[in-house]
Amino acid sequence: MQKFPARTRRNCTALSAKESFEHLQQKAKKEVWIAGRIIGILDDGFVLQDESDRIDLRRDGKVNVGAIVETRIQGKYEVGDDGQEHLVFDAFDVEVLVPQCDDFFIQPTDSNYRRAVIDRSIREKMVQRATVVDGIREFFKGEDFLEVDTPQMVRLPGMEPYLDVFKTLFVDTAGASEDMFLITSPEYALKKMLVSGFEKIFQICKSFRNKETDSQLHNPEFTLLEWYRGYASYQEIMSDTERMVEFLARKIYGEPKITYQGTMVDVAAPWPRVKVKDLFDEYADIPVEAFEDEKRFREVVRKKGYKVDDTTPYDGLFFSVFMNEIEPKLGFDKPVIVYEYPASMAALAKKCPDDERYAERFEVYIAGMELCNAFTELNDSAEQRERLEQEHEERQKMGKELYPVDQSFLRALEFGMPPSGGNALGVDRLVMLLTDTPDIRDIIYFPHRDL
Amino acid sequence: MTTSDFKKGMPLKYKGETYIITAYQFVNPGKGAAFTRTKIKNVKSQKVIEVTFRSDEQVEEANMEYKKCQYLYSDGSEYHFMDNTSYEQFSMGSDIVGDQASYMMDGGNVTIVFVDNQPVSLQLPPKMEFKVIESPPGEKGDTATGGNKQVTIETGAKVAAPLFIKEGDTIRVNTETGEYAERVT
Repeated sequence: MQKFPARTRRNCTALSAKESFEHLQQKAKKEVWIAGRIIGILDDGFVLQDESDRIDLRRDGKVNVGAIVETRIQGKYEVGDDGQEHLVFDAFDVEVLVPQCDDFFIQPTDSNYRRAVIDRSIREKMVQRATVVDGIREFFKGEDFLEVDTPQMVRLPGMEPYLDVFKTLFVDTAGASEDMFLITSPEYALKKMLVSGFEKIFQICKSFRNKETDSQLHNPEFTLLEWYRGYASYQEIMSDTERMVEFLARKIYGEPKITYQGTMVDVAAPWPRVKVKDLFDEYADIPVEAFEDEKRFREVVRKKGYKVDDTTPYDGLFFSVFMNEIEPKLGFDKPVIVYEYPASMAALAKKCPDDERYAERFEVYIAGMELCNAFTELNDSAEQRERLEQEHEERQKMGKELYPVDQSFLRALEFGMPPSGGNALGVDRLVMLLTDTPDIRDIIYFPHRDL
Repeated sequence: MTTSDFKKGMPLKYKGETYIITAYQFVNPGKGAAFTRTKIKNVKSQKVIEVTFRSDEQVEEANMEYKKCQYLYSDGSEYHFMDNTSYEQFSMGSDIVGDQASYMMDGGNVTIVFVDNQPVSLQLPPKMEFKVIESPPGEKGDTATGGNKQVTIETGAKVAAPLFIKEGDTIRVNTETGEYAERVT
């Protein structure tokens, strides 16, 4: 037989051989051939695995672990030592399709492991991941949203001072080159589409954030879902978020409940909504008057034992308390919608009409994990220009790489974006929650660490 | 030091007490400085707490010393060692030694980490060589793990190894993960 043959005689999978071999053998009266990788040796045969299942096959003679083979099989019932009838298969005419590599012994920590032998639990996660992504599309299409596609490589990246951007070099046909960037989110482009008159749009795409490794919650390349509703505010987006997560939980588990790391979370809409300032009161014993007075707030945070001084920026104070005392406790019975953030922490959000110190921004926490970040989008181009210039200055102060403010984005806002709400939701984290997986690297088939 | 210096097993001072980092991971809320979420173990009480440090925050280092020591014996609950320089003897409990006991040979050399003159952790070389004293014959194996089998090494610990490993072979084992690395002879 030729080495590396191009065709196989396979006409059956391991799973259907086990489930319906009688039909295959007797009714169809034909030879049954299966193919797959030999993943283990038995006393009286070997174990073959294809994508559908594993099957024990009896055979005399030597075979090699790691080889990909095809084999004719015959099943029959035999009475075993326990007096019960068992279905057993004999293998005949084992032909090697691809020989094993010399030392086919792969450690689970070897990044090639996933590529060589499907770990059935990881395959299951990949199936669930696909179900979640299909479900997201199903939900938004059911709501009459249009799925759109905007560039992942752009001329100017987002300005968020605390995000690090990937830079790449674009070269045109004449050889002239120019720096371009990978998006940290598709926000600017989607808002330009709102300006053009699209009213209900969503996108599922890769986004990129540099320096985000060494973590179960971040991968530098990740999947982001963003959706926007024109003529709406963050209130409608809260409702979308609740209904979408409930829809997905029902699709996967048949009920609006998920179990994540031993905690059962009831995701049925509506979810409790808590203002940021009330969270600090409830979980960290910081009364609203102290939270709203930066000097007092700084003092309270310092007294709690956090390393802060007069130079610590406001969000350093905020997150020291939030990450230690609040976030780990959020969203364990039901998901929590945390809303009304201090205006300084929401450069792309509209300020609250009744209190300009706060902005219409919300985040959702489930089982202590941040899932999304949403706004009533700022559509006053002059104010947006001012805020982006502030962020530009902040980047400068922090010694981060500087980019000009994106004039095409501001120009689009000048043409007029209807009042709109939008959300950016981490699809990988949603998959983690819906598949009870604590490490993002287990629901991404090729995580950055293994590249 | 700052959070970028964090490593597993590193000691630090937190609110006046000494802790060892047992786990850490990076978290970035994206709208403020990044953070590092840690689990740290108090070297006195052995209690583990969760603390999240800001990336720009100064974290106080703790005085740490590495001493070459010899592992003497275990009396069942305590593991006894001798400091190779001072010849002083001391013991550590199984709560500290943990799974590393599987790779310690009577009379073998180990590095012990002292914080504030207290032994807090044990460092084995990342890879160590052991003789295989028992190996199931031929090509029998556990089929579920894809072509490997359990062999017993001279310390009595069991290691998953490829089917070709025989009794009397010397193999290199990764002491952090407990996994087979390669065959030496």
